[in-house]
Amino acid sequence: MGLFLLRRLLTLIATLVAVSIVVFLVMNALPGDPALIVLGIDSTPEAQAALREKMGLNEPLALRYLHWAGAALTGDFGISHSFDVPVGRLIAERLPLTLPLAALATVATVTTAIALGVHAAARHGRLADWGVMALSQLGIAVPAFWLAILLVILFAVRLRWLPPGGFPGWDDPVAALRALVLPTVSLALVQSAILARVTRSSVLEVMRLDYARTARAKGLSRSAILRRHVLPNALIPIVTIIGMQIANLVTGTIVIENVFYLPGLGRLIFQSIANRDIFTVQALVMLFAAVVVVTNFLVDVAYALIDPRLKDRV
Amino acid sequence: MTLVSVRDLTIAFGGALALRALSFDLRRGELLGVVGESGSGKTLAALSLMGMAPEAARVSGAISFDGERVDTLPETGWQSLQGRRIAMIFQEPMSALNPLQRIGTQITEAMIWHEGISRAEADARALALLGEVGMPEPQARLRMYPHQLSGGQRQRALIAMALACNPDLVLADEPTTALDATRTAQALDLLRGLARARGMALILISHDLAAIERVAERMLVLYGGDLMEEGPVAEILSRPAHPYTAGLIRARPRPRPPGVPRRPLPTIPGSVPGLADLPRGCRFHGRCPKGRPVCAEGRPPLVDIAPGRRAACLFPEPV
Amino acid sequence: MRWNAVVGGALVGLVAGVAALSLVWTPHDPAGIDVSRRFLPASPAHWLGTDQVGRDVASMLMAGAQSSIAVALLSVGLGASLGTALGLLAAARGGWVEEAVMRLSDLAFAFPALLFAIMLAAVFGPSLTNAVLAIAFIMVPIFARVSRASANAVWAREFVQAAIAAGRSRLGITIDHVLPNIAAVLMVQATIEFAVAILAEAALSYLGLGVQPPTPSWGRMLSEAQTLLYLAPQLAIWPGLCIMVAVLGFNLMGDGLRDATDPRLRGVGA
Repeated sequence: MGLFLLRRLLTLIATLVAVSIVVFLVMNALPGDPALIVLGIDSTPEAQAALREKMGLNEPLALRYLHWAGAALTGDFGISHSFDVPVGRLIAERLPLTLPLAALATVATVTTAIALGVHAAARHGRLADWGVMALSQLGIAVPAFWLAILLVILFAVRLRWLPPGGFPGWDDPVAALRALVLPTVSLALVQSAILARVTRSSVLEVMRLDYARTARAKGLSRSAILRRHVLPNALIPIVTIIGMQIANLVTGTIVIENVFYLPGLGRLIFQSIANRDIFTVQALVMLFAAVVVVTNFLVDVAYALIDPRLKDRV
Repeated sequence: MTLVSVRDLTIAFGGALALRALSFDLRRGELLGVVGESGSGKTLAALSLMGMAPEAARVSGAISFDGERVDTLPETGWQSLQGRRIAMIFQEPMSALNPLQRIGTQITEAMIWHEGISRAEADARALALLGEVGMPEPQARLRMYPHQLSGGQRQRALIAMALACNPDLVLADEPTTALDATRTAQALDLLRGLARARGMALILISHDLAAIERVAERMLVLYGGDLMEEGPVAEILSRPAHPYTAGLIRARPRPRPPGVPRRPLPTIPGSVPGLADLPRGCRFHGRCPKGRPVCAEGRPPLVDIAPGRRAACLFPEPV
Repeated sequence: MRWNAVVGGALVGLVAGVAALSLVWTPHDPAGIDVSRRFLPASPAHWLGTDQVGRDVASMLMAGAQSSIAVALLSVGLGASLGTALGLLAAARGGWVEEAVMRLSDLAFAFPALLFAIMLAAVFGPSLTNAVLAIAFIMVPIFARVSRASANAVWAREFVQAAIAAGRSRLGITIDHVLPNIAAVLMVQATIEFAVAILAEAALSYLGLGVQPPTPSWGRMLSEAQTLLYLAPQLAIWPGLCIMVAVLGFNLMGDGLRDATDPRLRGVGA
C-alpha cells in the first residue's frame, strides 16, 4: 500500500509539473507578445517596454517559468493588472462560491446516479429500468447550460420560486443556498444521467457473479446482498467515471456560473479574458487543470481503499 | 427420519424440460451423491432445493424440508432457511468469495444475520470452524482476503461458510473442480468427516464417480433431466442396472498397474443432448447399446429392481 | 438492424439534411435583420417566429445546423486523424515511442476542451478556428488510445505475424492490415465523439468562444435568448432542442453501430 501510494504520488507531481509547463508555454511562448496582448496593438512601444520590464518578460523563458512556478507554489500568482490586486486574492475571494457549487453538484450527481442506477439494475428489464435508461439517454444529450436556462424559465420566470441568478453571499446562508439550487441541479442532472448508466451496467454485471449467488445462498435479503456484496464491487468502475466527471463538473461550473451570473472562478476567467489579464487566466487554467489531475490521483487512491487486491500489487 | 422429500420436481425453460418429475427422499444425516454430466439437471435440482432456481425457469412439483412444504414459500420464507438450515458450497472457490471482504467477515455474516449474535461471539465461532475445516493458522486467515489464500484454503473457507449456522443439509455442487487430485481427496474426506461428526445431511453433486464413491452412501444418476437409477453407491458401482450407469462406470479412468499398456478409455458414443433437442421416450435411447424402438415410445417408469434400488430402464441389467 | 441505429441514423440524417439544405435555401436570410418584425409569433411566413431583431428563427436554426456539423466534422476529423496516427505509431513501434505517446495522452486529459479553448482565446482572441482546435485537441488522446489498443490486438494476430516474417515494413503492415481491421472501431468512436463535439461547440459558442457573429449558431442563439427570458422564453427552447436532437442522434447511432460491430459491449453504454 505504502509503495503504491508513493508511486502514484510521484506520478502526480510529475504530471503537475508537465501540466504547468504546458500552461506556461501556451500562455507565454506561442506567437503573441504578452505585453501586446495586455495593452492592445494601438499602445505605444514605450508603454509596452515598460510593461515588459514590469512583468519580467525580458528574462529568458526558462527562468520566467521557474519564477512563476516557484512563486505559484507559495500561493503567489502575480498581480492581476486589470484588478490591480494579487491574483491569489482574486481567487480566494471567489472560491467560497465555486467550491461549494462544485461540491454540491458532485454530491448531488453521485447520490442521484447511484440511487437511479441501482434501482434500475434491481428492476432489470422492467418498466423502471427502461425509464431510467431512456431518461439517461436524453440527459446525456442535453447541454447543461440549456437545461439551466429551462430551469430558470420554469422556476424563476414562471413560478418565481427561486432567483434567476446572482449570488447574495454567505452572510445569508438560506438565500445563498437558494441561489445555488438551480446551478447545482443543472450541473448534476446531466452528469448523473451518465453515471446512472454506468452504475446500472456495473451493478448488473456484479449481480451475475458467483459471489452474489453465494450471498443469496446465505439467506440475506435482496437489499443486504445489494448493499454488502454487489455495490462495493460495482463501485470500482463507478469511481473511475466519478473521477472523470469531477473534471466535467469543474469545467461545468465555468459555464454554469456564466448562465447564472455567479461571481465565481468561472466568471473571473471570462472577465480576465475580456480584460486580457494574462496572469489571472494563466493561474486559473493551471488551477482547473490541477484539480483534474489531483482528482485522478484521488480516484487511484480510492481504488486501493476499495479493493484489497490492489494493496498487494505493487 | 426424512429430512428432504422431493416429489415430481419438474423444471421447464419455455417448452423444454430440463428436469422431469424428479422424486427422491433424503434422511437426516444421510450422505447422498448425485452424478450426471453437464446438462443432466443436477445443478438445477440442487438450486431448487435452495429456493434459487433461475428466474426464467418454471418449477412444479413438491419439495418438503423437515416435514414442511417449502417450494411454495415466498422469497422471505426461503431466506430464513438459506444459510441457516440449508447451505450450499459452490464450484469455484475464487469467484464464489467476495474479493473485497475478509474471510472472517464472510464466514460470520450468516451467523450474525440469522442468529443475531455479537461480532465477538461470531468471530470466536468462525475461528473454531476454520480450525475444524483444517485451515492452517486460522487466526491469521480470518483477517485475510480471498486473493491471499491458496485454492485449497479458499475451498476450506467456503466449507466453513456453509457450516456457519450448523445447517441440517449442505449441498456441495462440484466442490473440487478447482483443486488438484490430492487436495480433492482431502476436501472430500473433510466434507464427509464434517457431515458425519455433525449429523448433517450432505448432497454431493458431481460428474466424478470417484468423488461420489469417496463420500456418499446412496446415489442418484441423472441424465438429460431424468432420474435413471438410484441406490446404494457400492451396489450401483459394482452392479449397475441402467445401461447409462454402466457406460459411465466403464468410462472411468482407473489406476493402471505398472507394465500394463495404456489403452483408450471406452466412451459412451454420441453426446449429451442439449435442452432444445431432448429425445422422446427414454432420454438415453439414442446412445444406448441396448436401445430398441420401444425405448423411444414412452418414458420408462422408475421401478424397484432390488431392495433399496430403482432404475428407469425397460431392459435393466440383472442385479 | 437495431432500433437505436435506426432512430439515431434518422435523427443524424435529419440534422445533416437540414444543414445541407441550408447551404442552398432557407425560408429567409438567417442574418436578415428587420427591427419592425421583431418577436413575431409563429406563422406560415415565419414557422417559428422571429427574434429580438426580426430574424427568422427557423432559418437561423437551419444555418446553425450547418455550423454545428461543420465544426464537428472539422474537429473530429482533425483530432481523429492526428490521434489515430499517434496510436498507430505507438502500436507499430512499441517501446519508448509507445510509452511517450501514452504519457502525452495522459497529460492531455488534464485539459478539458473548455480549458484549452480558454487558453487559446486568452492568447489569440476568441474565434471559430480556436474552438475547432480546442475540440480537436481533446479528441487526439481519445483516438490515440482507442487506435493503439485495437492496433495492438491486430499486431498480435497470426496474419500480421506472417507479414512480419515475410519482411513487410511496419508502415506497410499498418496500412494494409492494421488500419482496415480497426476501421470499424474508429468509426464507432468517431460517431460518439461527433456528439461530444456538437455539445462542446454549443458550449463554446454560448460562452462567446466559438462561432462568432453574424454566423448563426445554436449555442450563440441560446446566449442571446438568455437575456430575453422574461420577454420571449420561446427563443431559448428551439436551439436547445436542436442540440439535443443532434447529440441524441449521434449517440444512438454510435451505440447502434457499436452493438452491431461488437456484441460484447452491448448495453454497457456510458
